[in-house]
Amino acid sequence: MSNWFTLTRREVGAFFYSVIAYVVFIVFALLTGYDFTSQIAFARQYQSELAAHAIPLTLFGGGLPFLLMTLLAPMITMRLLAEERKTGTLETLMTAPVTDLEVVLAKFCAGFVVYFALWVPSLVLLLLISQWPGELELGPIFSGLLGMLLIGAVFISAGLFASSLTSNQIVAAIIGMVINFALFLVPVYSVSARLLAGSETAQTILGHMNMQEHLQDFSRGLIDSASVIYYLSLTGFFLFLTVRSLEARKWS
Amino acid sequence: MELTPETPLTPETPPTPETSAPPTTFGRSKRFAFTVNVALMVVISLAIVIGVNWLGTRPQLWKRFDVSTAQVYTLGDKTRGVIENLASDVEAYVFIDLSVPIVRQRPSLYSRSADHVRSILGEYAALSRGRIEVFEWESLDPTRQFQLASEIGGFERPNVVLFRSGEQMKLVDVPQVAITEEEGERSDGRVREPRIVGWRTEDLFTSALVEVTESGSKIAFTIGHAEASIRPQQSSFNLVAEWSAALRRDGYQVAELNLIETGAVPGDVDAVVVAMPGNAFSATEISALRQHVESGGRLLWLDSSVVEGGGQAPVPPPELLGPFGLAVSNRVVIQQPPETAINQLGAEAYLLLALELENHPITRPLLRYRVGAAGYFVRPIELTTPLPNGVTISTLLRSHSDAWLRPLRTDLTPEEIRFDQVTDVARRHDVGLAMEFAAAGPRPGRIVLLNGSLAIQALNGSANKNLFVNSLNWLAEREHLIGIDPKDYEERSVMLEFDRIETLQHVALIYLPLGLVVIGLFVWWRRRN
Repeated sequence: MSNWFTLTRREVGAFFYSVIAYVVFIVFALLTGYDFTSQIAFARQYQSELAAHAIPLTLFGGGLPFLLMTLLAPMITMRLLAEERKTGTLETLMTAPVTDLEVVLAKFCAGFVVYFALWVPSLVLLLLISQWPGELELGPIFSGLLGMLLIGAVFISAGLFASSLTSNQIVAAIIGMVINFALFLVPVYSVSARLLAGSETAQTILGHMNMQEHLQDFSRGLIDSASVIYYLSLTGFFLFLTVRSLEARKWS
Repeated sequence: MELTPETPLTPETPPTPETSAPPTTFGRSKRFAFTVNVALMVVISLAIVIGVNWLGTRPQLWKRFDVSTAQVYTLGDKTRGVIENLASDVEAYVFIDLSVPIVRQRPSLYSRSADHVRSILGEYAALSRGRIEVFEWESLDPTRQFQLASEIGGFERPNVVLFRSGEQMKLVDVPQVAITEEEGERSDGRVREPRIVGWRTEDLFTSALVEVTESGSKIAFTIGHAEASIRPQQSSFNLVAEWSAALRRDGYQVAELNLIETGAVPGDVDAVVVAMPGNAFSATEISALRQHVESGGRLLWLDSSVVEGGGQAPVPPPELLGPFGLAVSNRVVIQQPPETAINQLGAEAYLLLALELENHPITRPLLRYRVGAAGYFVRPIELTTPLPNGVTISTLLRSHSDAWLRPLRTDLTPEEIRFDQVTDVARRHDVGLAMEFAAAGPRPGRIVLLNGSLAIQALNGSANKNLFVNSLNWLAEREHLIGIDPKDYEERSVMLEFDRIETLQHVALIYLPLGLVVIGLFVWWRRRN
């Protein structure tokens, strides 16, 4: 436990010590902030008040934040294992009295903490809105945040797996983006399965994998046990692959 | 060389003498064994992931939690009952086109209603486990649904939801689902939109489902005795017109019945409702009603001791209820009201009764949600003992245990009403009953008797309405429709003010990114030094 915590702390510290972290943060804060505030300003043109449930839906359930996550999560994780491999510290780490699982979990948690930190500026905006006249819906805000964290866990674990495959950070980021983008495009496969193959079963299965739809449900205040299981199992699967990938080095 | 999942891993550290030597047969076989092992473990873990997800979608394990404040997405018991008992599969076509001219006048109303419609329909589809399929333009199968959608004219009338089951169809207009508060005011040449304060989506959709999947029974309301009318806006005294509309939404055909003209209850009538009559029934009419119930027909008698415009109404005919062991006495049940009610209402406070519900399929949903019924000038029901053979009676409504009786008069004074320790006896009184008995027909006869002028406007209780509708659903043996009305949801909102939005934009686009730049520069400076 203490090994895991030490490793996590080290990774989080290292991330916030790199300039790239702030580039990621600024890009994310600017784009999500612009998307969110412009939608609220647009709504003001037609109405004097905004439905409380629309706020988490706009903030978390929109297409842009989701797309950004698919692209930025691998940038958070790209260095986690790839850099260790490149600098040769991975061997040192592997010979230290820590298990592969502890190493992977520590790296994952570090990536997850950074991912959560990405959302802090958005939470500041929510805090500002909570001071406006009217009432906010706290339930959907928390469930929307939960959805974002669950999806983030999948993207971070996928990125970590990608980072375990190579010593080149850029390649790791690209592999991570490809995996995440493949998950992002599930709705397209779903419609294609129906229209081209005429397969309703395929559409149902792909519909279950449609993260964006899940995220909208979360942002509305709906927590679906099947969605939670999907995200957790997918996260677990990618972490398992990462552990196997690290283990493979011992046999090579 | 870069590693990929397909290529064997090679170390990037300088080769050691051991690794640079040609691999031995032992090393190769070990590596092969490891590769097979890893491949197997990956396949097994993938199978576990698929299995866990499959289990997670099973109805027994699947759960959906609604954490919205107003529980907007939690479908009511009635809707659940309807969905679980769907007689046939339903297709719901959502035709939403926000580019048509009418939408431009109220874009927010349309877009928010469309969004809400999609969400709620999603809940219906999820709960039905495949029995309700929802189609939108982009999910229409060009070989099947697209053709069908064109045939039924969905594309010519946008912003509707069309429910279809076999040949039965029902349209619901998308903006209808919103409950709006005020008409828009004009400002800066723009039309301000009406404010959405809630949603009636579930009510409309459940009603549409019932309409397309069930062939409703016919319910006849007697006329000719100053009864409460089912015709809209005939009376400001009672709510029967509104309640009969709720019956229509449950798929019933609602009609008027003049027993003097017909002489008997027509064969296609499933249940007869006598709604708060002000005049007595003739012997012929009573005979017709008795013949109806004795042959397995159903009857709901809604008793009111007071009539519109004042005066007393006759008690339900003993010739009709007597053979089943029932009698309604021409007295009134009095209950001790709270002091505040006496101060506000005077003597009337003693006559306005909060009624207790007893456990029965009709009342169960109201008990579950702790919804109470109310009555006014309530006459007690008396039972003969022993009850006639084959008659089963269940109490639906009772007074409190501290109730007493007075002869019925509409001009009772507080002094006359007050409890007298010497002559009065405090006890519960039955004021609503459901009765079942062996009948000549293939099914048993059923009668529900509800006293207490439940439908008068002054009581305006949704519990009374649910009691009325549930009673008819029980009489018509459509128990799956018994429930409480889907609620109209209140919508929470935040006020949008220009200066606050401007502040938000400044924080989001200037202050926060600037703060991050400063922190980033500080980190860069520290690293440099």
